Amino acid sequence: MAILGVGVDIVHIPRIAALLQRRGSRLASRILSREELSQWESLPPSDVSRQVRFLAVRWGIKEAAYKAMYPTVRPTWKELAYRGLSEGNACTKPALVYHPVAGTDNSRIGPIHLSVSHDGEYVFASVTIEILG
Amino acid sequence: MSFIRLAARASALPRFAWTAPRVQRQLVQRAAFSAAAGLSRDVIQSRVLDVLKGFEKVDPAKLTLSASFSNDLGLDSLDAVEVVMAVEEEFAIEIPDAEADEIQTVQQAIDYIAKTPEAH
Repeated sequence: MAILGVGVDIVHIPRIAALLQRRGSRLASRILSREELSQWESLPPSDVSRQVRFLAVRWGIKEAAYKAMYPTVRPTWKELAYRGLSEGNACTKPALVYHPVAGTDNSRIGPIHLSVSHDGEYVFASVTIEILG
Repeated sequence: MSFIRLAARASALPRFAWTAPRVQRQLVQRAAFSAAAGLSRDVIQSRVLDVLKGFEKVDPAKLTLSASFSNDLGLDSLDAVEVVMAVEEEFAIEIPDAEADEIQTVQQAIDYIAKTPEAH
């Protein structure tokens, strides 16, 4: 197994909270894929901390994925979709799906592995991508 | 997405204080052709600079037209995304994703507004 790249990202959750407070849900519409956005819209509006965590995790994972893929490809926010533990079979790992827009040469992007960790005000994300061919 | 994250994540305090612009907008009379509705290049320029000055992390001394958000102004990718959102709010537009991702310098923000007829 050859590795295309490794990327990590650390997110200070209060920054996401502050941005959400200042700019409303623009961050969500800017970085979430279509499927993530529909999950986002189904989050209880009263549960702000869950909304903030949702965005912080996806921000961190996508940043980490960008670092892992760069410069072979430069993914954009909505080409990446995170599927967490609670969404589907409980016996699977969380997954990151890459759906490049038409015309992107993604022939070298192999399986994507990721891990996310939380502690207090921080989210940490790590993404490792295998190389194909 | 910006690859380089130079900014130190030092403080848990809010990063931006929305202070009053430190420099008054200079409404220059000189006519300039631009696609933005009736906005001269100078007006666009000064309003974009004012948006940047609203970010506490931005050192006004380093704020130039050619300044890069990350390399010159010390903004990380989350800051840069917020700068673009602030520009959107200032000019009452929504910038499409692909173009928003490309805006990494003050000049690029100005150029985008100048070619956008909906900006006002």
